[in-house]
Amino acid sequence: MRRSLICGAAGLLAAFLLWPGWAVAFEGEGTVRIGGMWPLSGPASFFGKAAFGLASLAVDEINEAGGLVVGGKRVKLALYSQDEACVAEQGLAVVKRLATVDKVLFSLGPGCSSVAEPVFGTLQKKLDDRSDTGLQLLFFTDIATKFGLAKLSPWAFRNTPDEPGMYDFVVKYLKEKHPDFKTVMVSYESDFAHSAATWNIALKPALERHKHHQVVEVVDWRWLDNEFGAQVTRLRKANADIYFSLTHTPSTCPSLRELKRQRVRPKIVVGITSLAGTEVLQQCPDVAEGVIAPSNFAPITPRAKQVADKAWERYKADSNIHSVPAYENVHLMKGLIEKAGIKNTEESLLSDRRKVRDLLATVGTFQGVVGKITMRPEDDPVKPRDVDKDLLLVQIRSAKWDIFWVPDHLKQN
Amino acid sequence: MEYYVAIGSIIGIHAMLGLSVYLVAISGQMSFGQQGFFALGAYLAGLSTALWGLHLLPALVLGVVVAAAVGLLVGFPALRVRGLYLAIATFGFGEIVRLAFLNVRYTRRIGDRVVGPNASEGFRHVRYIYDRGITPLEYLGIILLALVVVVILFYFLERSKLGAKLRAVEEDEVAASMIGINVTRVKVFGFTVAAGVAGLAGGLFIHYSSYIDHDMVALPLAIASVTYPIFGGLGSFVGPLLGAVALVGLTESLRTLHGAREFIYGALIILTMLFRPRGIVDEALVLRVKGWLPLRAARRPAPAP
Repeated sequence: MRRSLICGAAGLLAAFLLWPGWAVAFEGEGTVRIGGMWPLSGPASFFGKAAFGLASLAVDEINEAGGLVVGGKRVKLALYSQDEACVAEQGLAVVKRLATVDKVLFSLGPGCSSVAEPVFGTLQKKLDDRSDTGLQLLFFTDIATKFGLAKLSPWAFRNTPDEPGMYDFVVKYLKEKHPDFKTVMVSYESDFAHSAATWNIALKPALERHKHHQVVEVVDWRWLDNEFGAQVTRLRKANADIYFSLTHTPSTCPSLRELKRQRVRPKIVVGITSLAGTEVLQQCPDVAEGVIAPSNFAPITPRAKQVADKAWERYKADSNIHSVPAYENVHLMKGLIEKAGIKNTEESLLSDRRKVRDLLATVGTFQGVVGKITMRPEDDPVKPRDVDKDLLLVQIRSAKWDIFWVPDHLKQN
Repeated sequence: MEYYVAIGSIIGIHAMLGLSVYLVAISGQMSFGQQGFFALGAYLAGLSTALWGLHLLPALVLGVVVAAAVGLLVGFPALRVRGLYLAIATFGFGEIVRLAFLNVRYTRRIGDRVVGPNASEGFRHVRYIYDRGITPLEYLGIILLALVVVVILFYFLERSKLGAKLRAVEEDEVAASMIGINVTRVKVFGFTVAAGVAGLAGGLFIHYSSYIDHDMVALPLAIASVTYPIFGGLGSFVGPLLGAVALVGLTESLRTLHGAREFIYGALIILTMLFRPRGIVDEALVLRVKGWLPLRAARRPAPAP
């Protein structure tokens, strides 16, 4: 009896473990399935939940307007989102789930560059190469920002910030506007791919290129560290004019508090692109006052304000540099899916993905929430399938993000 | 199907990592540094195929040999301490390896790609299996074959004199040395073989994921690798296998619960520790199951009159 009970319990446990959540068989009845993989749990979930909220808002808007037309039939969009938890191995499982269980046409995300690396690395490297067993799933990424990720596969496209370009502009701007500020100190997170790459690939080459600033101190820490005394002491001794804090909010806030405690007062503080969201305003508006961040999004146009308000109202989702691209991507893809002539059946899924991919590769310029966005072509030697978009500089003033600098054509809005 | 193949691949690799910790544990030690050997195996095997153009098999063997050799070197000084001190010493070793790979640059341009460990940028383009037309299902077969080889090794080890010596050292080091067991040699042997197994897991992992960086071999991997044998049980090598299946499976099946799954995961481990402190497959269960087996029952000597 007891043996049967143990065997029964083991069987039930095995069945439970192997059950892939709430996935159902592909039906294709009245919906086009799109996917998204973001960090919806763990320390990076702030970004993932925001992107999920903005993508959901775009899906809602499309469906409320009647959906999209595929093969002469009006169908709705269905968003299948999965939690990659910012863990590479989980991302490797999730991508297979989206591709083969959820059977999505394309996927948004991943959120973390450290997940995007192996996920994009396992995609097909050359189109039409039959000997390449890499996965054929189209990604249109919104968050993973590390430079060069889209180069990994022709199936990877990104609507993410061009950080080398952004920091080049920042360095040039500081050189022109504050020529007397010559010394620079930097902090970055050694264990966070995005942060380390922002220093090594974006800011450092820009400083070397413009030959104006002298880097007097570079410190690093881990992104979930909570003690920064030693590093800030080195920054205090360096006493530079400009401080580039290339860290994410979890370590930016406590490190800025330590800077205040040790009375380190750089004349200008420039943050990482990811800082330009509400998380920093919730966690440390006092010490972050005056920090400048390069961004591609701020609610500076009527449409941008409307999107930000709706996303917050419906999903409590923060509209920021990483989440708004998810919204833009869904709206762009809706038009492409309609144009691509997909069949939207289980049998046609691979060829449907390819049709949409090929169309996305030729998209050129499209309308974003703030301004025009240009997708670089596939043969671009530097960053194929990445975008160029308007750069803004935003600054925390009175516990709110405010405009510090915008291009002239956006001022008219 | 490919989703289950992916889960199976991750389970296979993590089961090897769990077995690696298990082998150290059955000699009475606890290592929090197996991720260091995993990283060594991964980087070496990755370099071998992606940069040096070796076949997968010698690449994996090289990873195993180097990890085992480093295990042997580390084992002698590390195993002079025990318990919590050993846990910290081995974790320190894991961190040294991780930080070394955070700073190592050894790259070469192949076509339009920069291949090789590139410090914090990580080690990209280890695409041996994808470029050679090996399907995920075939690669799962390779992983499972490697796991079967390791399991057979453990099966015979547990039934050998050496296995008995490992268990004896776990039970009581002083008593073991008094009956003539060279305790240091036995522990270092276990540590070396365990390092090789972790290196094999690392080599298989990098070819599966095509990428590795220092952050993927940090504390969370150390905790996961220790959790498999602790949760699954230390009574038999089946324990870490069960632990890997259950915990990786749980991670996947509860994915839709997002943050809540971490609570469930934690609660399950606490409950297991409360009710089965030696894990699910503990020594008592092993004895009971052996009693169920008809062959064993037939061989069992008749009770004394």
